[in-house]
Amino acid sequence: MTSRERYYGESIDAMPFGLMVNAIGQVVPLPISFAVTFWFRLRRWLGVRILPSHGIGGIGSETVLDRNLMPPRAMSRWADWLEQLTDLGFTSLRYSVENNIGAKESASIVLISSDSTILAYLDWFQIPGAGGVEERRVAEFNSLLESKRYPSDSTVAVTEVMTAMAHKNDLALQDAFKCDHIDTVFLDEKQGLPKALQAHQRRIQQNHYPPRCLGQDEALQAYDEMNQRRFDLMLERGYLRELTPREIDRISRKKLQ
Amino acid sequence: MSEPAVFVVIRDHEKRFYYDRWAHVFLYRNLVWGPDALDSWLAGEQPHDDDGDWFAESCGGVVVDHDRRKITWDGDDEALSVPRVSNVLNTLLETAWQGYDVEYAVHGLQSLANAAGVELEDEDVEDDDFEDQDADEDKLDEEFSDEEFADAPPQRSQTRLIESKEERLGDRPETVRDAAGIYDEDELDEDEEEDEPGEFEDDSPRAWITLINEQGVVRHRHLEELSRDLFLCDKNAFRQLLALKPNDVPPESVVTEGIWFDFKRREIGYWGNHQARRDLAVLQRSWQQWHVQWAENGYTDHCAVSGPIGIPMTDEEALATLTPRILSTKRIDLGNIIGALGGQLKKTVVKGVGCLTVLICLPVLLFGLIAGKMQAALITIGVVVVGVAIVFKLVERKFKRKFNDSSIGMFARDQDAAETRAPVAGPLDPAERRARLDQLLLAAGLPPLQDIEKHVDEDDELKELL
Repeated sequence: MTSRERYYGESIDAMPFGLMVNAIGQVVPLPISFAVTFWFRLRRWLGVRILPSHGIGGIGSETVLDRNLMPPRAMSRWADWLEQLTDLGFTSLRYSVENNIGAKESASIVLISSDSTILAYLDWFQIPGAGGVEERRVAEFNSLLESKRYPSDSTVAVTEVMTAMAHKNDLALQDAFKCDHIDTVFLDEKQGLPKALQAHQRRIQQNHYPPRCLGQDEALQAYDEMNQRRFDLMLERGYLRELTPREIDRISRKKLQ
Repeated sequence: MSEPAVFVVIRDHEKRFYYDRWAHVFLYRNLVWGPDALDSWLAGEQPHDDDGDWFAESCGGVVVDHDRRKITWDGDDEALSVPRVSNVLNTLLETAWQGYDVEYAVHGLQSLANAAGVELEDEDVEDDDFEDQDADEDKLDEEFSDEEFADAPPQRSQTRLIESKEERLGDRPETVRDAAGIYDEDELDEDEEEDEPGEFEDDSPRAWITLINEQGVVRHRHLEELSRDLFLCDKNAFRQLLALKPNDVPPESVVTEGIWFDFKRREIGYWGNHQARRDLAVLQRSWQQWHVQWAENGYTDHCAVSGPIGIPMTDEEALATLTPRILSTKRIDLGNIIGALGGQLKKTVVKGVGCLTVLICLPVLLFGLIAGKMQAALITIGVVVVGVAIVFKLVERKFKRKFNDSSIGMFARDQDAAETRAPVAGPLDPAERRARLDQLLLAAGLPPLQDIEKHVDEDDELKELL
């Protein structure tokens, strides 16, 4: 880690109150969830911010690796998804581990569909949770559109389509991450990848979205640009904030146990 | 209700039989202290000179043959179904029983009876049919040449199974569908997302199957256990496997047995727990055109052929499931079990009452904040909390007294009073027990308790029992 490196931390106290109560309520009784969220909010009002358990580097700070060098735990957890994606005609573009500090370990894979219109993103991470270390995996299907489109039920122009799968406990919070320019649907990971892909393709078809066909070379660049836009939006909303050097120092001492 | 175990001690060709109503639960905690500790523990009650009906009444037990320097044991603990866990336990036992052969009774009571030289009545054996034992043994000798036995794991060749091919598979499910929890009467509903076949809770034990096709494509599937049709080379089993939902590479800590089928190399690798070792011979016989091998390095070998390194289990993690049981000096009996159930019930009630108290106190706290009367609010909250605690304790006391006076409570107390033997073998002083276990771990080349305890599951369902 150099002194010039920037890290960002999650600001859970900036999340919408109701969504946060609902999200924490997935693992603890609602009254406790309410009290905890209230505590977070109170600290924010008093200017005593919660120190995140980990910090993440910006987009592009990840380390690209050979498949064989990827964290075994992540590869093991993805084994079924990789099998299904291979069967569905996807090929991998990039394997990487994220640049994190503190109590987080994460890795990701970017894949592209055989018709080059869908980018699949597999994410795996371990972070501290209520009952010790929590392990999660997320899958996303993303399509960039050739031109803006207005879906029948919205007046906002859509430039991206995303279908994501997450753990059911995390779904409650996903509404906070929806962006106007992305037609987004979150599904419970139990639905399975083939169903999520079908849902993604159905939405593209039903809304007459023109998906952009990405060449192998431009796919990763387009993907990183798309990710940067999303990252900037999260910063803008305050869900992510840049960590101070002192915070970076303190967070770096935290370990995932 | 009990978990009885029979103990047979053979010394100078003389057999002595002991019986313990509850020792089958965590039986190994009486064995890891070695022969002397076991002898003095058993001596707490008078031995019997004949086998009586002990075998008929027991769930398992131990045969200690001092003449042949051999110990054969069979204990009931789900944790031992994970090979890694039973391997570290075996290492511990071999260290504690230096100079003895330590063997697990793969056929349960039948193996114990064989080791003790006792003839079992047919009805004594619940799971397996061992009729015409001698005839089958002869038949088996004809079927298996010594050469064929050479590749089998040592335990297999020593035990010399006596069942016919199918019988040797014990009570395994008939088909892959059965093993995945799909039954013909429950046709899969497309909209039903719950309880999808082949899906397991993170910590549920399972069998791990890997299929590697001619093109090298790797597919993983999980089953509750391997089914008979896989052992018996039924092609339909693979159709059923491929129709199941793909699975990830499971952590070693949940795998009870693993098998890979490499269709290009016509190779099968198999590894697993005691039951798997027992069933290897059936696999070798049924898949004669294939090279069937026992994967000595188990999980590591399986991962090596199927791609990812996987999530191996460390010695510390494996021992963490055993050491709390080994260190426990509590007698496991009906009274203790009822107490543990009561403890769990109490925890749930405490959580409920806690939530209720928070619900009651929250408006008071908010009122205090808004009205600027925090002191009054905090006093009110304090009074509520103390009041709830007093009422809770009173109700708990009344409940306990009522239960103790009931027939179940009295029966449990009587049973407890009837026991004269110490609750467990080995040192009863907790500090001494820890120190002795640490010495044993050190001698076995295993990590110390201090490191193991970091991995102990705080939410262990059996914690209340220990």
